[in-house]
Amino acid sequence: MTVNKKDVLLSLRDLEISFGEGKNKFVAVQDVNFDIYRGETFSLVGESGSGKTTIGRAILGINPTSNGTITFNGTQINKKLSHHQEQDVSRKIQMIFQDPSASLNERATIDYIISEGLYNFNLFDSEEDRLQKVTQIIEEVGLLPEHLYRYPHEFSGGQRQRIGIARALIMQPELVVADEPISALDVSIRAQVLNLLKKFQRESNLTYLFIAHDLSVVHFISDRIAVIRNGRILELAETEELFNNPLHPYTQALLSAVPIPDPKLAREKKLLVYDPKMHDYSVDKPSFVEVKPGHFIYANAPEEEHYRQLLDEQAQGVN
Amino acid sequence: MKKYIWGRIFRSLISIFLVTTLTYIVIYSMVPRRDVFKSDTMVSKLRSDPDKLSDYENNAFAKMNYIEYYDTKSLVAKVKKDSPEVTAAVNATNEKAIKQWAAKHNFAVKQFKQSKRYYVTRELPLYERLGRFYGNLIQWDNPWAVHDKNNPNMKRYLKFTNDKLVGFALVGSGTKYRYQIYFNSSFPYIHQNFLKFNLGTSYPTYAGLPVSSVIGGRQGRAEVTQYTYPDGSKRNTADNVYLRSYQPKNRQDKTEFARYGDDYTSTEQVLSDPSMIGTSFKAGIFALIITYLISIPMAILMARYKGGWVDKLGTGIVTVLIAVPSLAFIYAFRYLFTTWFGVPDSFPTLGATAFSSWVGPTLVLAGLSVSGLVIWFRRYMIDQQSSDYVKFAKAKGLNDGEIYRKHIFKNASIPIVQGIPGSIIGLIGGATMTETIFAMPGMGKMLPDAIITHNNPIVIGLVFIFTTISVFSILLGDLLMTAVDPRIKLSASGDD
Amino acid sequence: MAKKNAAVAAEAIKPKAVAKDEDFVLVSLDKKATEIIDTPKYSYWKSVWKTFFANPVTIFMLVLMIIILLMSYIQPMFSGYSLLDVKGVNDFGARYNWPSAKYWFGTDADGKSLFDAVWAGAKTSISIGVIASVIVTVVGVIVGAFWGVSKKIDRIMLEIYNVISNVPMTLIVIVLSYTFGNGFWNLIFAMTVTSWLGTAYFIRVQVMIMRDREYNIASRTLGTPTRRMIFRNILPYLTSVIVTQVSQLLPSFISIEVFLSFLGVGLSSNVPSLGRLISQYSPYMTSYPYLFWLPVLVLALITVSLYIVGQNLADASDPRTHM
Repeated sequence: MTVNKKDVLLSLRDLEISFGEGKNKFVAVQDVNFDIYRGETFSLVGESGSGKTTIGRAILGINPTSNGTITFNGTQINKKLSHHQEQDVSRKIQMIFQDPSASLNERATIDYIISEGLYNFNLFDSEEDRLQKVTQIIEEVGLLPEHLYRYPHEFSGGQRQRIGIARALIMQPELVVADEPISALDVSIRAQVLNLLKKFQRESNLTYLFIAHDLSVVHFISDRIAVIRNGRILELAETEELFNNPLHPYTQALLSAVPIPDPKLAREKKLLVYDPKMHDYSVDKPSFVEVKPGHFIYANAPEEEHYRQLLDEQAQGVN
Repeated sequence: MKKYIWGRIFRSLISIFLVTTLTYIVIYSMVPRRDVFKSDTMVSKLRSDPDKLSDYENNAFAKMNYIEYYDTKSLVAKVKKDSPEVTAAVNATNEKAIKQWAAKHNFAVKQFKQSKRYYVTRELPLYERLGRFYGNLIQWDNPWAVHDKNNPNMKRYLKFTNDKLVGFALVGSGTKYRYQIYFNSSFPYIHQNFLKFNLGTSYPTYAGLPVSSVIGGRQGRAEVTQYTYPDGSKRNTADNVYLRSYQPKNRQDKTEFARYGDDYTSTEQVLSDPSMIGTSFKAGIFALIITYLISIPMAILMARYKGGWVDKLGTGIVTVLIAVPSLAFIYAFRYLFTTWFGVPDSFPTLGATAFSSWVGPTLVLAGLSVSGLVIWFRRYMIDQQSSDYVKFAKAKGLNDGEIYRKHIFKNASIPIVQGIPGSIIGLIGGATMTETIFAMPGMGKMLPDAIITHNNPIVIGLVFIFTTISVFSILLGDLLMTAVDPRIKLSASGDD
Repeated sequence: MAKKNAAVAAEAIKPKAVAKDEDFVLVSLDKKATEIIDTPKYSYWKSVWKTFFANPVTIFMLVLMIIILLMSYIQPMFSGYSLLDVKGVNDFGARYNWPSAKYWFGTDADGKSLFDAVWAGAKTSISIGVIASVIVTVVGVIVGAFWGVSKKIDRIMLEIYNVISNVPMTLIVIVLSYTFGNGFWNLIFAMTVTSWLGTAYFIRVQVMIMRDREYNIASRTLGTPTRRMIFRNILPYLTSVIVTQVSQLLPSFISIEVFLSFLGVGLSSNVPSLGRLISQYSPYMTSYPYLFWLPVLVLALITVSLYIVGQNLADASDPRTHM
């Protein structure tokens, strides 16, 4: 896929998100820097509690940020916006939720759920126009128009998630934050949902921020991947680069946990365990550095040296 | 935690203040003031003498702090300070002087219908009335409280001595009451006279009596006790010697003075029955205990045999108890108690001294709050039964009895304590109906009585007392909660 | 007999012939067909009624409630009962008749039919209960909903609530109805002016539980304004909670009206109500017990049927009972 690297859609700079105040203050996310380019799929991977969902929600304005900026289409959005700007941003950034049974209003028909955004921004000319739009999107996600007058609990998990996708995409967003959209689904229908997301990306040049907790899922769909742990981004690279040259020990540990669908190979695989105590950051403070074009890593000076060396060795090895 | 408790006490006081003030404002500004004479027999007696009637009415309004009022005599005395030549006679010069004085002090000059003599009134604005109410609310007795022109060399002291009449006591001189702190055999054994609440003057029922003694003073017949007086004489008397208060020299009785050996010869009688507040308190406490004695075992049985006939029967009873209006409930149970136990259906039939008088009202009062508590305890028990620790205990092989004894009962103290404030508030509400129907002379019956007779000062006084009780029972309930369950932290900022 | 049946069954499942490959026809996969939902369309209210009418006790109470309501609102139109009517006071034949075929509930000292009196009184008592419940519920639910979602409102309302909730409700109502004087609407005002706070607080807590659920966050990301969130997302979930509230409020307001009228505070003296009847006839408890107990019985039937119907409707409106 060709991605225009110049065209930055979303940009996070020195982002810090904290909860509580004073003694109870808990910093969930700190020093987060990355750009998402228009039309790409950017994945944020980390274990639960790493702050990945918090970042996703901050982009949507659900979690307030305590420091840093979030810039969307060149406008800072994590501050008080004018009513017009706010409407514009909330239409253009949409979210797909993890749990399709919890994120749908059980007391509303599918018709209302999908139309909710249309009503909020008056995105239709007439009742027929709205119905036509809703019917079109529901067919696009592979459901039937007759489903419009049913309630969420009558659907299966996969169907519900497609309703969630339909409700986000009917808004014709530019950025979709997909928060573990397939982790609550049966393995058998995960591919179906991922393919659907891919299809929409192809058709309308969508940008995805894909949040996941294991690398195997994102390998298939992402252009670039950021690995996050304890609220910090540890490594960021293009997908192939990250899978071929994982530098950070944590990334290596995550990769070692990716299941291999071949029992023979799987038996030989060594599971790596990451211990954060291995870094000695007491004297030399780490920072987020670019060790190779497009490949960033959180390291201090000696580590950076070590990583560059590894990359050189690898490059020579290939040659 | 300490800071939190002080904060809570402060807020509770604010609550009491706000509710009392609001009630005061609402009642004194919205109930027509003439209504107080609706059930006053004096008014119809005085109808033939309009002068006396207006004097009587103005005095009544003045007592209730509606107006400030000077009749002719005290008016002349006041005006004399400005213009010494003024007299009570009706003529132009006097009128001029009085009008001058009145204009200066914001009074309105009026004339009696028949005699045409002058009197003045001044409407007290609401804030001034409120100021007087709160200004006089708390009365501290102290050695400089009494000033008697005829007794200039009065000793002023407070000392702890073994008094000849009452035994060890904190004795005061110059104070309003002789015994500031004293001990005797009646509950709670230690008593005080230095702090009194002044809630105004009752009118038109119990006319002229302080509201606090209408509500807090004993009732019934006089009771005679034998005392040995300081002069050595032994006498049977109904006088309450513990409440001896200062009697001005010019009104003192020589023999009384000789008997007591000091100026504190003014006494009230000892009466046989508890006060209104005491009556309600007694019935309330026993009702609370009975409520818990009934509802806890009932809830435990229902929870333990959940879905069984015990549970179904219990739920049915509770549902009916909740749905049936209290009035019907009280009448039905009064009828049942009277026919089953033969207890009187009215409190005054045998009076406060008979135990059987108390049975009916106390049981009814308890019955009224049983249903609410049973639902609450049952829910709690069922939640406990399905909680993980009980499942774990079952998995360990403990039988139901052991689980109940060792685990669930321990945790049950929490809802029991939690239910107390609610029960107390419920008892206050229930007492109004129960006491009225049983004609029981308590605060609950006094409220509708005071309302029907337009006794505004008593209504305010009762609202003040009821609010204070409920506010502090909620506070007490919360503090008890932290005592039984240390995990509960009140100071955490809860749900927001 | 049993053996024969078993033999027939065995015969039925025995394959007639072995299937071969050519017996099967390849059918193209219709993706759409897999999406079809076969279950009949779910309708919330239909399910509510179905669950509601499944319980015979409920139906009995509902019938009782309807009979009482019809009697209370239709019977007084024909009886022309007036509290001040003393026509029969000198007619000794009309006075103190025990319940009979002619006078179903008997007659009182003025020769008035108790049957007429009870329904005229019930009409007033039920009307007051219903109107007060509607006011308190509507105001309480709307205020409570906004209270639950707005932190700013929460701070102010919590202080007001803390002051008012400390005071026993009966005390407030008695004092207020005394202050505003007697009359139908005065009484309703006194009963509702502070009671909505209790309902509002209860709804606030429920809303707070709901407001941070995932589906509400989803609505927020779709830019749904607070007002639509309350009416479309939160309140529909609270139907059963609200019905429970109403079913508790209704009997309690009737009960309060009865008590106030019993005390002589509240309604004006020419308005019949159950409370007034009970108060008026309480001296006859031993001499003419029907005069006292029949109004009490009707009162109890009214509140019990309303309460039980309400509670069961609340249970039925909880979709967890529909499965």
